Amino acid sequence: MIILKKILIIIFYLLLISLIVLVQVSLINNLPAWFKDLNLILILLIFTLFFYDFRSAAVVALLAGLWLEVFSFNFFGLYLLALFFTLSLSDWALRSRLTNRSLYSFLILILLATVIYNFSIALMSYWWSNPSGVLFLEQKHFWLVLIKQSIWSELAAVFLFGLATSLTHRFQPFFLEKK
Amino acid sequence: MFKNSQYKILIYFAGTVLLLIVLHGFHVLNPVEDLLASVSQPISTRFYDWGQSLNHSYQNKRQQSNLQQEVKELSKKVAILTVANSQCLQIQAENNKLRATLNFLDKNHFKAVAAHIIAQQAPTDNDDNLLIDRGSQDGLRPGLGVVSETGVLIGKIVSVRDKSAVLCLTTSAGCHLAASIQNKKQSQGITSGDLGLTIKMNYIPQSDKIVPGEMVITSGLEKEIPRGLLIGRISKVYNTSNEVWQSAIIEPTANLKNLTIVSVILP
Repeated sequence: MIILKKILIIIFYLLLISLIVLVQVSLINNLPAWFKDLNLILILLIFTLFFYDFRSAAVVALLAGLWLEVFSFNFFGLYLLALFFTLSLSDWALRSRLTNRSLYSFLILILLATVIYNFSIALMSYWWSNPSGVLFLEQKHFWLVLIKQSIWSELAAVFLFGLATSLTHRFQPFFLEKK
Repeated sequence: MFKNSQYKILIYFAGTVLLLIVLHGFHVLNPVEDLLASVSQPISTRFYDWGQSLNHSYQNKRQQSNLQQEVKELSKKVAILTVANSQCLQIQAENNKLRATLNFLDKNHFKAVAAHIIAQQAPTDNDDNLLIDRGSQDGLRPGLGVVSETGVLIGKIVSVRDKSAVLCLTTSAGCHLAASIQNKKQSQGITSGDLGLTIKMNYIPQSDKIVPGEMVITSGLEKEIPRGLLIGRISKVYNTSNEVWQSAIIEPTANLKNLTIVSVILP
């Protein structure tokens, strides 16, 4: 019974991740400027890493990456590798550099993940498709997307952290008082 | 940095990524990719349609607001251009009048002072007077003849100040001019305005034969007004056998209601 419940929960999460990827690929990418820069997959990935663990986040990265590769126009592996780098470096930062699990940590982590993800994608695309062309760092579009995505990610981080702390007391601040 | 279990997961993770890439390279993953694509197709199509419709409505709204902005800007431009156009037309009309005046003055070797009409006096009794922007400083004095741009006599100066002067129109009751009809006898008479609309010529000898259509010009008997300036055309003749003089109604040749620039003839 417990195993069945676990399997159902896993299937539910797999479907949820798949649905989020489809929303990202088919709906959000078609929205007008500004809105299309919202990256739900990245937010979901860091949310899972921050509130759950690295293993769950790795599953999210693999599944979301595979879905993205199916819909991708780039070489196979671009999103899988980008998500791998993003998750690995974010996990390292979370363990080694961020001392607690506060809102500020979450904001910094999601900002870091956005930067790593965008740099990974841009660098690999540059190497793959146009190594002799203009470097992405010199392109205004790259920086604009990065800024917009960072703003969206930060807003989502504030919202999700608020939602998570309202549902669980794990991340609410506590103070030691001398009586 | 990483714990052992962390390392394990990281290695598994990296391995899975590499495995997927290799499997894709050997087309082993194709059935899975096709399955994922076909399963997701109905949902992704629906999401795509929503995205498109949202995008379209946003674009339409944006375009609408852009068009409204454009209409506003164009309306402003139209208003500015309308004003500029009317100014151009006014300048063109003024230019035409000045050219005509210059042409007339050159042809007749008259010395003249061009003047702008700056005001029209309120009509009192039957007087119809205009104020011009030239005065005694420009050499004007009472009695000088004033002509339109085509050279038709429209009145004469009645009073002057330093920088302005008042002229009475030929249709004004108080505006008397020594005139001559262009007939065989060159009949002489005196004109004065009639109700501010026409000119009446009096004191024409009964013996002279005059007919409607004949032109009336200045006779040159007045010291300040040269001979030969056109006043108007006879439209009606009043002739009764028991009167010493006969009279005639003259229609002014110039349009006295549409004057902007005039020339004061200096003899």
